[in-house]
Amino acid sequence: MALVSVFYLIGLLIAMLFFYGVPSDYKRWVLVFFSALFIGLFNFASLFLLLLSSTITFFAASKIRAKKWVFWAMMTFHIVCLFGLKYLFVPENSLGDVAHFQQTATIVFLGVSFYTLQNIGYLLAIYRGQSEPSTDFIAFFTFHAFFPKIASGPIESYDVFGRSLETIGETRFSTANLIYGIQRIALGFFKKMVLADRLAPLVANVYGLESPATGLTLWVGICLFTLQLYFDFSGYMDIVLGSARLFNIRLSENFNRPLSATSISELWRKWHITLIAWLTQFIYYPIVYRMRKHNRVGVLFATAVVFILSGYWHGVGLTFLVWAVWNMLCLWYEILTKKTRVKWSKNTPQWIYRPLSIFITFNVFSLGLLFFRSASIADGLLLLKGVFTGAFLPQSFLNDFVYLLGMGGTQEHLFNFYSTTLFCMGFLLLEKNIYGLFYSEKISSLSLVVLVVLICMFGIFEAGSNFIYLQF
Amino acid sequence: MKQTIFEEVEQIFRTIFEDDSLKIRMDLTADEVAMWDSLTHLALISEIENHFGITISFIQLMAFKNVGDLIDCVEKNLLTKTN
Repeated sequence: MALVSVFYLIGLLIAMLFFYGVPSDYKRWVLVFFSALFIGLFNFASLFLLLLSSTITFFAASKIRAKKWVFWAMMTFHIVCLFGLKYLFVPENSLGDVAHFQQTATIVFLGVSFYTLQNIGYLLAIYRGQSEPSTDFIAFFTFHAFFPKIASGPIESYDVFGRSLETIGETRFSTANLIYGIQRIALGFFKKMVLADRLAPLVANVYGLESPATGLTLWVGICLFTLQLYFDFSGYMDIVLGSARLFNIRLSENFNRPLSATSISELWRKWHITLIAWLTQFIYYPIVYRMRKHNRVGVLFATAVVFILSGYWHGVGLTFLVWAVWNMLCLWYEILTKKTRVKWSKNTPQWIYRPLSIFITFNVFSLGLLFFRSASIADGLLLLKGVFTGAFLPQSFLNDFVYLLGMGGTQEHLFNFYSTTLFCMGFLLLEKNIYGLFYSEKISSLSLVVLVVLICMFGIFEAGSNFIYLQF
Repeated sequence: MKQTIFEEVEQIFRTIFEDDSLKIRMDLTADEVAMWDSLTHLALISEIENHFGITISFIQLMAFKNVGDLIDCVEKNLLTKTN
């Protein structure tokens, strides 16, 4: 079921009515039922694997400290789920489509990449003695299956999210949660339908190698994908977190205005936060700790492992590997030059240093995403070559910039180009204020009306199911 | 004992962060020191282990929230060592 659909909103409303309508003891069953329904409507294989994975993890958890083989058997099972099942049943040619972002790839097991990481984290924390096994299977199953978050996260820890589900029966209806939920979902719809989906045809035009643009024009087209991915994924998260709040469930934030970051390392602390936090806690720190006597080598090695794993988690294609290696190199550079950069920042006026750093970070990050989005490395290189072909600056603003990015320049295309870029730029400049208004328990009626009107006027209504991150 | 540990740890901070005027507090966190990232953090831990002749476990390391936690941990490990 697509999150951007009337069907989803009606389902959400019905789930809410049941949740607050039934006695305390049954509230947890309402969440289980609607989560199972949501996954079952997608396909039964997903529901079966999730049930299998949760059940054996739940029962094995209390035995892993005493019996090492149980721990290793569980790790093997989850790693096979993560890297094996994710691709095993996908027909060979559709793997290519994953890389092509055609979004026709068959997702066989919904959410497997997300809940498997939750399971591995849960078992590791128990194995290390940092956490105790759950004794509440319904809470444990809902921790994975909760319908807003099953498909794309956020990746949660059982101690924070799971334990809160154990007492979900005590939840009382609150208007503050309702307002927060509605406003946040509305903003998610806006980000997806007005920003991301209007950027999609412009981006597809550039990455499909159909645009004759070169130089700066092509580079801007390439960078538009960074915006599309951000609005698409963060809009999805707004819908997820807003939906959860309707049930008084507070999920972890996955984004914290990443495009305002002044370095790649800061950006990675603000983009897909729960994935990076998981990798840091369970991969990065254990490696760095073991290699702490080797100082820099340990940190550089751990960074490499984290990014290569992250690349493989996103997809098997070489394009994802190039994306991962590019980010790794950027972080290596930042680790090795930290002292110099702190000195620069102290000696340069902030009104120059900050915007310049944000600008450089955005471009460097977009260069990595060029390979993340390209169909093949050859296509990526071809696009990059195009940027350095001919005159860098467009000769005529209309002919060489607007018409090329606006796909030919018919009235409709130009309108789309101008309105989309205007909305995106406006949104990014006012991002902090917009979140202040919409991530709030106080209702801002006027802003909400304006937002809904904008969605109705400018929203793309056909593409709702195509969230980019559903495929990972 | 804690005061001595505090002063010695402060000296280690000054060496690692190359800042002789750096003053630490029990509630000081990594966010407040520009150069305090995972690289310097591990250098710090490694230096503290060498200086006091102790081993800080991975679980202890992961639980640190501020300088106070670090100093408490050093004190605890020193007490276990002498006992």
